[in-house]
Amino acid sequence: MKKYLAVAKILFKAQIVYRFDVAMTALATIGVMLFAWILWGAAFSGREAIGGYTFQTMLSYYVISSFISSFEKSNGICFEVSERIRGGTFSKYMTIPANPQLHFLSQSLGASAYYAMFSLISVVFFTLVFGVKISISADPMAILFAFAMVLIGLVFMVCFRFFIGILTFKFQDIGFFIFVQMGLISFLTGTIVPLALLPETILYIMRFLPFAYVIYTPTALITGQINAVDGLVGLLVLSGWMTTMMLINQAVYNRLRMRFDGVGV
Amino acid sequence: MNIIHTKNLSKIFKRFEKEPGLKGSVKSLFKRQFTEKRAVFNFDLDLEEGEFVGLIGPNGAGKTTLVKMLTGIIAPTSGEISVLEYYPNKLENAFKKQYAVVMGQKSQLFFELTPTDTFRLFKELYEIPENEYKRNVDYFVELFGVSEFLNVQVRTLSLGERMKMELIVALLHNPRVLFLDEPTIGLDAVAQRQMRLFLREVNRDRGTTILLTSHYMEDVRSLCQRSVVINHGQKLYDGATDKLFRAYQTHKKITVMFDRETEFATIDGVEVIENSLHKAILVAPREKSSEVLSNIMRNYSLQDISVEEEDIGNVVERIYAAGGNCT
Repeated sequence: MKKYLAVAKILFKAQIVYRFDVAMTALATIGVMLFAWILWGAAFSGREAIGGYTFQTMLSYYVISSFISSFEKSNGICFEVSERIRGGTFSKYMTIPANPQLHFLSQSLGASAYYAMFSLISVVFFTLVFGVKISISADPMAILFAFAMVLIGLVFMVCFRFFIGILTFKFQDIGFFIFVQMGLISFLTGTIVPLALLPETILYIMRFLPFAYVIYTPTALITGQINAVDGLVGLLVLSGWMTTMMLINQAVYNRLRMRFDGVGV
Repeated sequence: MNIIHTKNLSKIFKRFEKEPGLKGSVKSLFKRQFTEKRAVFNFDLDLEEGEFVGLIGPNGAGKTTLVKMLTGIIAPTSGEISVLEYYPNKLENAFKKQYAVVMGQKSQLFFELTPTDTFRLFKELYEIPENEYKRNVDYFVELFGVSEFLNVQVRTLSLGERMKMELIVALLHNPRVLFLDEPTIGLDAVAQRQMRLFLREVNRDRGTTILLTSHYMEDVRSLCQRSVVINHGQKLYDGATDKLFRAYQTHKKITVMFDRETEFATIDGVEVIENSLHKAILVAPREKSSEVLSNIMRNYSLQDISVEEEDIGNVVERIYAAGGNCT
């Protein structure tokens, strides 16, 4: 376990080397929130609510979901794993005594910790400067479940993206898979539209899929849109998916890595 | 005791081929053609603990493929393979903790951070006890003379300094076997010489078994008691390095720079491979090289002159022609 903590730590350290990039990362998060403030301000002009959301709850949704999605940076893993397999440098993960999946997971969590830190500062800054009153649930269990869900969601997403990446062992070019998963995930996590605005049938199906529990459900828990019981169900579904994904990855990796030719090494 | 053993080891790659041009590309969408390349074929190799062995061969000979199989990066197509009594491609952690691999053009270092940061990471990855870690860092830092670079960003290091750090990273966990793939590539003459000194010391002091692949004949000649020559995936020679060089490195390459425009006249028994008004490159038989040198120095006004060992390709060609027979 200590070795993976060391991997996370070194990735965290690597993120904070360049001060300009650090400052811009913080500003980018504020920019997203500011954009939502202007956009939804215009959409709500003359209206009390849209789809059950008031301007305040909608903004709260955006601030919290932007905060969570700002440190869910696993998308790069698809590209990194894929490029490394194609370029042969994936061998570096095969020759050190660490599990490649857990190595990438630790890397991602280390980078996420950095983004989370700056996003939190940005959220505080935004809410103070623009006077946005964020609706936060009064139920401590809901908040606890939300935090657990964010963490498990991060792990799940890394595993999911690692899975897409290791398909390169078989398909060489996984551009199609990356394109499809990016679109699907943006939609299914509620990054594009709050999921509450979607039809009932789709929402019912999505209860059994993991993606809604990565950003949407924890956001809804924190902002008090749903209660702790719904959160617990989500937590169980997400944990199940995470475990399944990790096991699938291990099996797929063990099978597909036999095709690795290490070209370019 | 054999630390590395292979018998009839082969690796065959399947390669996609298509006809040239747009027509060929479209055709390949519907009908794929593959060819097979035998990168390593029926290769037998046994290394004893503590040996320093050079693996020589031209580009595409199969050297790196062999190293990739020995380190478990790729799976063999057929044959026997055992390293430290493990089947490498099972990639067991217990196995990975006992060897290290350094590939000249690939890095384990984090370029944004300092070498010490990477050392610390590897300490955890290899579960090296704190006192052993400190002892090893002190030993290698002193040996390589890199104490002033420990806390600077890796990306600001020269290639030579970076290669020393790569070696330290690889050696921190006291590997029993070290695979070195072109460790001196791109280094200047001074750095190459230093690197050779360090490797010799590591092999002698720590008893580390080293398998070195290199294009530079000088690396192998000065470091390895034993050499293995490979070409087209097959072993051509396996034996004493001295004997190999005596038998096959029969020529010297002489580069002459003139200090004014000069017509260079041919010398009997010497091949001229480049001849311009300011420069000539010759290949002379070893036994004739001193005579050729004094001839040139007597008859021409020179700016510079250098004598090098012959290119590895010629040597391999000669071994190939002789069927690897040194006697």
